[in-house]
Amino acid sequence: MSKLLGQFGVALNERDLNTLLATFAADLALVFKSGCFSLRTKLPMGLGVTLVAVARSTPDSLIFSIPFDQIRGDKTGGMAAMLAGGLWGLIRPVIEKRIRSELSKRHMPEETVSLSQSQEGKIKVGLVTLHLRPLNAWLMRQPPRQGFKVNVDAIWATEEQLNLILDVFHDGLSALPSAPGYG
Amino acid sequence: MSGSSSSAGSSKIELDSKLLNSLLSIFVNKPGGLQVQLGESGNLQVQQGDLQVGVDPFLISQALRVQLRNGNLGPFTVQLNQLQLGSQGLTISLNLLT
Repeated sequence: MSKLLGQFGVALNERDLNTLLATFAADLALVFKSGCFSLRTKLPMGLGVTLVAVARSTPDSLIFSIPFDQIRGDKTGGMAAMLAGGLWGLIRPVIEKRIRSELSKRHMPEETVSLSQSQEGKIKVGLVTLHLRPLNAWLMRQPPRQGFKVNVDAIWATEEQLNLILDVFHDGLSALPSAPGYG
Repeated sequence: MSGSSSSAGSSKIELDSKLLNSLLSIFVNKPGGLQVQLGESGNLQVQQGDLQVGVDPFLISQALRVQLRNGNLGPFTVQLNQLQLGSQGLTISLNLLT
């Protein structure tokens, strides 16, 4: 039985987050800038596109909005944005495939991430939603590291930084002495 | 947890008081030996036998460079800019150096 030890918070500024992304997730080609994630990806016909994903959080999820008018093509420039409504039909399967591949690599349930389309004001957006409940269930199924496990309590981005709050658990701590703050 | 708002462009890690006391219980405190505990008022209480030491809440603003080595990933240099201990727990402001 895992016991909740407390919470661990991390706030990473743009520079430090990009250092970590470049070091540990270079294959994702993901950059954090001014509160948004920028992702470069290739479409099947060889056109490279850059997507901007704006992150916001709810109690149960982290949602990335991808405004169609911010989609840029490597060669076509603004043309990609003009075609974005149509391009989303091409981009969505590429993103979906990348997400499924990452989930499958880690044996994570498919319902951890869902894709949809919406309208925010006058702008059409693609939505990529990371659901915390299946993510945390998966995290709790992982073997503990040095006895420790974590759950994601909250994750959100501001213009300057990415914030993450983790619940930290430990296995086999029935002998913990009582201390202030223990619940 | 109050959140992880950063100041002056530093990144930040925060351990709330509950987590800090849990980690002290796991890694530091030994039955009949050294006992270290963060009190509700933010005082760090250290006890070894009859000797008791109380450390008031503190804020240390002193740049300190730390080398982290992690297997094949090579060393990371972390500059610690500020350490703050209080009733809320421990907050460390830092920057990764490349």
